[in-house]
Amino acid sequence: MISILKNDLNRLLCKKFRIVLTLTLTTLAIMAAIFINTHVQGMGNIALVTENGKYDKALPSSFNITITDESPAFSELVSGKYDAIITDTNGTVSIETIKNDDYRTSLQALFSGQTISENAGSNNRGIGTRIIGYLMMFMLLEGVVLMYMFADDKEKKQITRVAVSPLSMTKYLFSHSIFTFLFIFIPTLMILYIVKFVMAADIGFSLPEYILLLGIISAFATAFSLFLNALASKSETANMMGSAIVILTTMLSGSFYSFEKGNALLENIISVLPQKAYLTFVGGLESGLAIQDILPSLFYLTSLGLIFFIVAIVKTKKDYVNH
Amino acid sequence: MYQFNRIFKMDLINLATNPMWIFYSTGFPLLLILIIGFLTSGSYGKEVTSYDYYGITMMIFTVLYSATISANSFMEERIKSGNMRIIHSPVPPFFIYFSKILASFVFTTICYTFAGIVLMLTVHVNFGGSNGVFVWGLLVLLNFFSCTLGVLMCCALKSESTTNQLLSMLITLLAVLGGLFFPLDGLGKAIEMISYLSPVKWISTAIFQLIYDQKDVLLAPTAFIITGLSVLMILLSTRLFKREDYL
Repeated sequence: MISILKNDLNRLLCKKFRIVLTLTLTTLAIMAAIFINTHVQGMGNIALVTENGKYDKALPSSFNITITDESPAFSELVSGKYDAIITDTNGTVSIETIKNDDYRTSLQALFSGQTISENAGSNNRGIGTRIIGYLMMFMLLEGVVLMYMFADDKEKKQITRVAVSPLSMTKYLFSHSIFTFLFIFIPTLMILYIVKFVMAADIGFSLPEYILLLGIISAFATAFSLFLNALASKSETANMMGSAIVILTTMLSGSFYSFEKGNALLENIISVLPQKAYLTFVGGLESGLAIQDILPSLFYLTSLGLIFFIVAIVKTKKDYVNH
Repeated sequence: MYQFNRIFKMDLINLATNPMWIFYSTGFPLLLILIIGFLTSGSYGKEVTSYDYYGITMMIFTVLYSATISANSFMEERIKSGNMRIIHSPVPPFFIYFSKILASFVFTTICYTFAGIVLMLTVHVNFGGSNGVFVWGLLVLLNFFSCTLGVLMCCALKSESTTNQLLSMLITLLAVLGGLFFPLDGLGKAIEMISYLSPVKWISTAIFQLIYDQKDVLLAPTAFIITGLSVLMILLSTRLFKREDYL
């Protein structure tokens, strides 16, 4: 087993460029998460257009308001620079927005002098959940990438030699998994703490919590990519399928931002996604939910990971050992 | 020219008969746009729907992904042996990779256009009405750029799988920075500046301006830069492509 780990390490060191790239991307993802979190504010950005670029009434504090005398282009609404353009001509307010009707109604109410609860629509996610949400996609992708040595063994038929060697197939797969796990887990954790100290930022969770949380997702990423590589006969197929699945499902699970008002059927489908369960767990932990409320998601995630792992072992054994 | 046509034709057939590629260049963008559009439709109003936003941004994303297709059509194990034979025949080496660029460009352009038409008919993505031709043109140019990028990376890194992994991470990063998955502009001046570092941002801004402001100030410069970069990539590929690497 140790020799496989050593061998994996040597093979990975041949691809220094890839290591540097992965580390850079992880760093950027963490920085982005911290940065965005400290800069997100309130209910949105609003361009307030008045005749002379001045506005003397009190402004609602929960918005980030830019006062101008020239209306911004409509494409800036679409690209998300502004959530709404409000034109005030002598007290008559007209609102231009591409957001939903609720948003328009609350704006209308606010700018004609009424008060509403200003919390509507704000994102309550904590910094820790956000960082992990951003990291999740990269960690899952890393898993898919790092398992290439197993795929390589399969493609180049090295695995048939392993099959006749005294090393058991389970141990062989387990070694690859440990290697992949360590190489997702350790660099990510290290970078996270380096960024934390450099940017002097609050990252939400404590070190033991991060070890637990990142450990879980690293293990899951490992199990998933082992499963994928066991099913696919070519490393390329596994890689491309893997990245497509990871990107689609991670986005669906709401790792970057949570979706609102989806449709019921789709929400059911999404609730099956392991990433969703993971985010529920992380979010629950951060907002201090009782342990029995978040345990089911954790249980679901671990059992799914275990199933992936077992299926991968059974399938590989079937393909290469007993035939 | 006859020789080039033969190679080009074969490359095109290789791409078009691979179900994986057909899925990747039609099914993937369609699914991506339909799912994300559907999920976010709740937070958008009726005037501009979520499909209008994600239809454009995810299309840019998939167009960037062409790079992995061209990389694959160039250095897939199956095709490498074919390339090997061409190297031994009296054909300029330029034909080998240029035909790959062209074939993946033609193949993906057809697939994406088809996906775009489906999106226009089913969820009524606004591709700009009469300006739609320019939007399409810009995306086609970008597609050509992606194809040259994929081949250049292959020439430089000499391995298809490294290229693919590198590209897919790079593209995802550029896409996130460029605000393709979720709008970044609203997050403050600093983020806006960072997002302009991503060339993707320029393209999406150019397209949104074309569609929603009927403004084409960014169209010509963007098109010019993309074309220039594509030519540069081809020249670089010529420099980096070494026949010995196949041995």
